Amino acid sequence: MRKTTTDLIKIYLKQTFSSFGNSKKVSPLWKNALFFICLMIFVAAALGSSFYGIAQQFASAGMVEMVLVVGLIFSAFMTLMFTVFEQQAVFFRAKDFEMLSPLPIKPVQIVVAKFASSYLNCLFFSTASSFPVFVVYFCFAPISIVPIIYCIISLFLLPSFIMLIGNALGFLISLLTAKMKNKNMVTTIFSLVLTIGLVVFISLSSSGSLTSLFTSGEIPLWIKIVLPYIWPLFESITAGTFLFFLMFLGICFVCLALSVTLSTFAFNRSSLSDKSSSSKKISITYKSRPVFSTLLKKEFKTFFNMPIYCTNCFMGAIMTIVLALILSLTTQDVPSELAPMFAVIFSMCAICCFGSALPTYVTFNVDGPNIETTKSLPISFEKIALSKIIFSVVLYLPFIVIANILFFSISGGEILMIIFSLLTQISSLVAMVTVGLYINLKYPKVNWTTETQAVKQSISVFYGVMVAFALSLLPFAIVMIFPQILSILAPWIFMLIHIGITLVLFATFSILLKKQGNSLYLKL
Amino acid sequence: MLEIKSLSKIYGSKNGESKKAVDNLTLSIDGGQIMAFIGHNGAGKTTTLKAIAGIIDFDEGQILIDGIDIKKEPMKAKMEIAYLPDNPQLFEHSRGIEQINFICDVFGVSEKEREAKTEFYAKRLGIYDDLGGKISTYSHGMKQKLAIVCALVHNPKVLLMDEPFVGLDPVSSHELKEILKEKSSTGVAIFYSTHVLEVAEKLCSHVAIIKKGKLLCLGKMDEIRGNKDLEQLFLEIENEKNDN
Repeated sequence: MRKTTTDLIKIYLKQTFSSFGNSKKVSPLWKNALFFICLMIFVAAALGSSFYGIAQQFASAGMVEMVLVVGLIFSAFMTLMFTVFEQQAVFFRAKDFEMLSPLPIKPVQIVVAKFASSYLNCLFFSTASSFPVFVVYFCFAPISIVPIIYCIISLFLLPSFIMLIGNALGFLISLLTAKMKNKNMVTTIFSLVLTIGLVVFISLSSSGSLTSLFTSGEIPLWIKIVLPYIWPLFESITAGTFLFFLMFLGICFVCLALSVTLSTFAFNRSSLSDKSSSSKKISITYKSRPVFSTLLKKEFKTFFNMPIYCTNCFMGAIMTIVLALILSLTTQDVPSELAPMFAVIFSMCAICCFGSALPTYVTFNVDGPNIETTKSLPISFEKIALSKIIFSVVLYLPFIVIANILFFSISGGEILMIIFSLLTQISSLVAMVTVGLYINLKYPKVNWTTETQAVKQSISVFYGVMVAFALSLLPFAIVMIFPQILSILAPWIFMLIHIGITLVLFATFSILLKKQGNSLYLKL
Repeated sequence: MLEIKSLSKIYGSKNGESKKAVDNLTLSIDGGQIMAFIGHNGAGKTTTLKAIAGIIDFDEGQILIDGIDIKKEPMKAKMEIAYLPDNPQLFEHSRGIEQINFICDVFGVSEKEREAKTEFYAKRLGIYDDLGGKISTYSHGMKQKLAIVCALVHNPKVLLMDEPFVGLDPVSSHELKEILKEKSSTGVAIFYSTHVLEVAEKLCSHVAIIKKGKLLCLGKMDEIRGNKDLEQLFLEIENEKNDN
């Protein structure tokens, strides 16, 4: 029995790690695992620098230990977003239910294997976000061996409470939407609410507003109630109290037991959820439409029917608007001669935000096996590529315009700066969308078992994000290398140079798509 | 109508391991012929069909559809064919009628003609009443029927089908056989892979047997078969080649 369970755990873990690479190439597991770990280290380093900034704010208020609470709440959000989707795919809409159920394997073995692999996945997300906060805390607090041991042990148990909440929410969503017509839409809305919550939380953390939450020097009661494991862990680390650590362990183990029970119950019901759904029939019409508009419509339908795809892409878009609000409020206090420089900073940060999750990074992934249908039809690759590029641009353009309206209407700005800011962002969007399409063609993943693998666990996403980072950091890098430029060039010339670079990038990748796109598409 | 000359397809990886899925395959099908493509699992049937449909690239050889080279003029060649995959791949988030309309738009089928053709085929296959429903709610058989309607609605000159009878109920299976006979009588070339040898024996005018990418046998069904049934012949050929 134990062997079957461990075999299943191995299969599920292999699925997760192998899904990072190219689905058609068999690469060693260690390579993919190494890549995954490197990615997590990168995320941890990025989060660590943010936590350091927050810790400095708390330190100036004389309560540096509160960074632990903020970090753990952030970690909880990150893990929750992952679990709600993952748990639905793994337990409540399990694709392998029909394959595994007839086999002489006890349901408990399947659930334990699924739960264990899912727990390990959560552990990566949780550790990537909570480990840096522990490191940051010990940069400011005195180093003592007992709290460090508590931190290390707690890293392995932190996902337990969130997994219980994720399980419960996932189960609830599956249950409520089982008979709904637009069940994916409901999940999408729910995940968007979570996304907005996370974005607001990040913004509040970075703006320093969170310090006001802890003015009494204690953890607020609502945090103790909503996330009950944080308080005992906080006390055990800051005061080194073993009793509180025991309390933390107790909460975690109870949550684990409850999670497994709920998962078993949910998995046994999983076959019911999808099959009872009905679809409203529409009257049949034989209206002809241009192929391009149908392709575009297909892109929109796929987007809004895949909650994880939709949420992932909208996260960047929403962050752009939140960023505009925060930066514009900050700019109000700066001298007017520095305002144009803030417009440049806003543009670059906006590029970084929306460039972190563009649909073209995964557009061929989400098509999955349907790619063969379009490949067998007399539709040119150019038409398909154009529909995907236009879809991404159309999707993001309103967010960029709204963000710019918000930023400039609050902070004020010359018309020239507004035009250049908009042009910089739009040209970067078009360039990144084109580069993203090429990257996805080069590193596709059309065979996947869960939507998470297609949307989040793809190497093309990583490369896409790197391009966005590079484009947004470019002007800062130039200024750092040649500081004298700052006194010579006006901010709008910076933007003009940036527009030029992005246009060259767009032209280069358009030519690459024209030359290699069709053959890469045929290889998908 | 369909000509395959010395087709070879190699699946390979960068570290030197490669597999010749199709090896120097040559065959041709004229209009009005129905050719069964038979072989064991992994013999290269699907790869051949995908290469003809322009889904995958191939390493050597030439494929002509009504005289048009699929590599040189893929769009023009694809206008003449319809491909039915072994597992129906449809736009799950769309409705049945939307999938049909999309295919008709691609092939430029007029509204009047698409209405007539859809009604004709969808009613015969028993899917007409479900065309307004979402594809994600269809059963496997319904998806297969919809994929068949999509393949037939634009009057292709070459019909390529990978296991077309899988998942169909007996009535629809019978209807499909009748449809294929009617299509071949109007000059359409039909090339389909199958493991159901009894059906192939009755339905097809020609047969091609493939093993490990190589064509073992090709010709008219009656001449190839002689006094034996197709199953017997297939097993004999398979064993013969294994002995060699």
